[in-house]
Amino acid sequence: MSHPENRKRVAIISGLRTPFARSGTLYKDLTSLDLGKIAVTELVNRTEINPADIGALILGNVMPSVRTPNVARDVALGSGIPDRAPAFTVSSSCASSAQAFTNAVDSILSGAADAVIAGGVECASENPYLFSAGRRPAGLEGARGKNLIDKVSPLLRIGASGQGPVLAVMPERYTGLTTGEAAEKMASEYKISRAEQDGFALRSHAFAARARNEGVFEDEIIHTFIPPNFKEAILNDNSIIEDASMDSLGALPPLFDREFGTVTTGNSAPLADGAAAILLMSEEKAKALGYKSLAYVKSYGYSAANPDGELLASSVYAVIKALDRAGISLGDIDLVEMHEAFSAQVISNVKALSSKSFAKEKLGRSQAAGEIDMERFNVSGGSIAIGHALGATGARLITTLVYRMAKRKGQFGLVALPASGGLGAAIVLEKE
Amino acid sequence: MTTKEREHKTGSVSYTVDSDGVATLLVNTPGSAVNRLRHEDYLTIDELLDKIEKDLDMLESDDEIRAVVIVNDKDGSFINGADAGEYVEFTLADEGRSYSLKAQEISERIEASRAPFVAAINGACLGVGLELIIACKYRIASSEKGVSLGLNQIETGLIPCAGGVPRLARLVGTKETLDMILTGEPLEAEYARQAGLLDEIVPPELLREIARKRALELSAKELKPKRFRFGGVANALIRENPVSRKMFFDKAKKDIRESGGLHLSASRMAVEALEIGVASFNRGLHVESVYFGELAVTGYSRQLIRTAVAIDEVKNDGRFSKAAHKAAKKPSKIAVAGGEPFGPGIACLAAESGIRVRLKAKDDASVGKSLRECYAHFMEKVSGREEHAVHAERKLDLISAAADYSGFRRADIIIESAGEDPEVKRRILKEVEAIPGGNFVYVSNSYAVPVSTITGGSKNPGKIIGMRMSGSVSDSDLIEISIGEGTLPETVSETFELVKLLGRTPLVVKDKAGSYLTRVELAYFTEALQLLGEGVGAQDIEDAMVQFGFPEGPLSAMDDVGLDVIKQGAVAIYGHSPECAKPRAMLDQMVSEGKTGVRSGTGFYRYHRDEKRLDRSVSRLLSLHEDDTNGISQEYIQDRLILALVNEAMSCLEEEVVESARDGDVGAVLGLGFPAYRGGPFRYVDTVGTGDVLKKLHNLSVRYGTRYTPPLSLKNMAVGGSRFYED
Repeated sequence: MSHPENRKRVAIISGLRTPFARSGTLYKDLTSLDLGKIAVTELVNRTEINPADIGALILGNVMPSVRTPNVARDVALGSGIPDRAPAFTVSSSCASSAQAFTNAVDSILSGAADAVIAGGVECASENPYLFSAGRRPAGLEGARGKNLIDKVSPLLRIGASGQGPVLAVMPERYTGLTTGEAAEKMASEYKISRAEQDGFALRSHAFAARARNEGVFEDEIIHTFIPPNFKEAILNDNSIIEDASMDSLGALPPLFDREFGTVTTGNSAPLADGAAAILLMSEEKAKALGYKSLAYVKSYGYSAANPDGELLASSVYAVIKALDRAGISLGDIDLVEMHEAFSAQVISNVKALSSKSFAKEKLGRSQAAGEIDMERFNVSGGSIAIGHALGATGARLITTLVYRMAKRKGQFGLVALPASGGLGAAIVLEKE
Repeated sequence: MTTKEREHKTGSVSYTVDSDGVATLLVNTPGSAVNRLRHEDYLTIDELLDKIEKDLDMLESDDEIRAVVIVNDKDGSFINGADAGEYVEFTLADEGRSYSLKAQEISERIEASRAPFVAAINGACLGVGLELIIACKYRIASSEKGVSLGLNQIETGLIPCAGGVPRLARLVGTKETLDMILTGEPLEAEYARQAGLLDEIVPPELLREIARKRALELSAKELKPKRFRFGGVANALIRENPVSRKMFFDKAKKDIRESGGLHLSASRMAVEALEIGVASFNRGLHVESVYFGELAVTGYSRQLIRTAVAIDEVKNDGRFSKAAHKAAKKPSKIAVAGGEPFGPGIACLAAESGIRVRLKAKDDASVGKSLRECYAHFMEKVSGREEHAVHAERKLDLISAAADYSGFRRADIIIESAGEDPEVKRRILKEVEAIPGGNFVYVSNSYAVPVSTITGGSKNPGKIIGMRMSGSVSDSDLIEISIGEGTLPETVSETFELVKLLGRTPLVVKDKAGSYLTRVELAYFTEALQLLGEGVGAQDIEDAMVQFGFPEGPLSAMDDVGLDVIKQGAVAIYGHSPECAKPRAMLDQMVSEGKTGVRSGTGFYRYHRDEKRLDRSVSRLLSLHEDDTNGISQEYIQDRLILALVNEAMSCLEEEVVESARDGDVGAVLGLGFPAYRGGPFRYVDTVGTGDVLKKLHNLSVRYGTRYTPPLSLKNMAVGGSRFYED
């Protein structure tokens, strides 16, 4: 992002992430600290950066464990980042690691640091209350049992429920509605059918599976091993369903409105565990150290909307802000990575951007932001397939985008996320 | 009362007196890394004791002194026992005895002093040091790690000499005293407190202050230290009841007799002195001094002391240590090329010493296995309560691994540990040298591949050096560093410091057709195979060498190293020498059957859980006829094996692979398990006599071939009547 006076730019050197795993599965015995250490240690090693050059570590984390209230600091100490480099954790629900990322951008632009690692961690498996009964990791629930039957019976259910927890069941404090219910509202407001939503979910899985099979994620994924056996390297996100079909998706019952609802576990993002980390530097520092930049930060924008009415529409406002600040239009964007909380949210967000009436009513503009070319939209699938690691998804989107951008001709890339509480975040990246 | 602080300084002990009348006695040895009650160069042992006595004289005659606190100004070492090297100066038992009497007298004076003595301990407190501390009225230790208290005289074949035997029994009980004296193992602070050896554990920054406070309280009779009145039923019975006392000590003596372990005489004498000391304190003192005197002049103890001194010298070899080359710095990161079996061991060793380490294994499966080994290493320590979980996690955090060379560029030292194939080793060196921007010392860890054979195409041969870790990394006390043809002195120095940082003793050797340890060990191993082939029973071979003083028999040791590794080593060093054909065939046979030793679960032994037993199927596999040589003497087996080993060691010295007999001896003792009380192969030749060894070698070479042909230098020595050592 360019600074008006000194024209400083922030470069993205590298990004890495652990595979995302449906919560309560592969990483069920790990913590967000463990996952964070894996991601940051690997980033430091792969980039061969001299740890002394790292000025700070900023991580997003939505549901901190009481044992690691500032998990970023513990990750820093465990990953060989010098003791003297500050580290802090930010929370802005689903946009947390985007927030961590732009905080890093700001601290580089302000001159506070030359190089910063930003990212996010989430291990929902650490927070058993997130899991509806029967979906908690079996051992955990069993340990709570008062008698032998209570202790053993959860273990017998292992494998019976293939579904992990979904974010959609967490109610908003302010409105008392779950994000899922908000998605239902959007679906009916924008008249998005069940088939349309399932179709988008199917697309997410198909695109993610294709990207995985084509090795698109290889640059960003850390081969991750799990103690105590460290048996097989985990190479892939485990919630992508290669053989998903309209039939299998259509068979799932609506989750919130049993009678008329259209939002199901199939067309919303499953909660995932994972960590992602990105190395950012000032352009001069990167040049001085001989690093090739994957991309530069052009602009970003944050927005907040009334959670009652527009809980998941706020990413639209953020996108418009970021585009305005970058001085470009939606048509200039080569690739878009939008967080897929729900099919209904993605579809309605896309519709809103191209809607003249939305522009008129909500923005007071005569022209809509523009039509998004779906050929350039979430081309490697999205959170519905890959899963949503709350604190880490933003960093995942940025990471995926920069590697994709590096291989294409287009100049600009856009990351957009809606977040609980009516928040939205958008970041515009550019190439050399 | 004086208001001014006064100061007295005498040699290694000095004291100050504060306005409250508390004298602080500083135990401090100038210029020595650890505190020892050592004399300066111009002092004899007697004079040293005189000196301490004079301090006591002054303290006692000074009416203003109300209490005394003993402290040290070096972290990590309180009093580390007498400099054992001095005991070698005793030529008569009476000299040792009179030393002991004097030391006992000093203890007694500390104990009986009008001004109470308080010890403030913040490091290791061993041997005579602990004996003097036991005589104090009160003992406080710092809560910092590193406090350990022990009577370790047994390690040099001795028993306590300053009244420690009866006095410790009075303090902590008979059973505990016997354990401490016989094992020589020091207790950590918390255990020492539970045993009654410490009165208090306090934060390090409060140590001196509280010691001072307690000293004043003792002097004012406001504090009465808690002492075991009873010490548990068992101890009370031993103390008060002659029948149960006799039962206890009879059993202790029987255990020693049956264990047939090391330090037999010292153990026996310790038990006797303690038995008498429990019955009567004064007679205990008497017996202690007599026995100490006797033990101090035995060849056994003297040799153990000499060995300890030699190890110390090797460890601090001025030619290689940091001071010699200022460039040597503590590595902030090391990288290890090569997964299991050796990679993880090295990674753990580095992490134990607080060094960040990146490991490269050949593929993901190997990365996983390596990480698992590291994890298991530290978790075992946690479950064994050797390490707090938090500290273990912190060390584990230092280790990361991948299937590529990422993370290597920032390493200060790269250790290649990829086995014994020179082709693979050359390839890895090439790959590592291709990493842009790297600036590192390259260490090639190998059993038998000389480092010079891989440096051919190197861009930077001056920074390449060889290393050999024995058997399993965690078990070896010694790491051999082998200098290649073009290795630069600062590379040697940096590696030397690294090995010390890893807590191991570095031995620097030249690299000629295999390193010193491998050559000597292979000579010993292959001779064991020759004997097997001649029909000598496996158990007989093992027994003979354990009897000689090795911690385990050669077949068991081969299993530890790995028969596959030994086979590769034998090929590298002996090539196709016909003399070695039989052992090589046997190794081939074993390896092709997958019997490679501990790591595969079966070798000469079968390993099941914690048990191992000789594998009967081996004799069928190798078509051995174990009955052929019934009645062969243990001495014959020992001669065959030891002389093969000794002869190779002498060749190495002649070829200047090792620089001195001392280096060769230290290497064999720490690296190969050669019995320390025999000093090593060169000391062994001196003990047996050059002429006798020459004669035996000659006879063996006539019968068995050139491997027994004595080196020319030995012949010259025999003719000239000279020895490897002068003392």
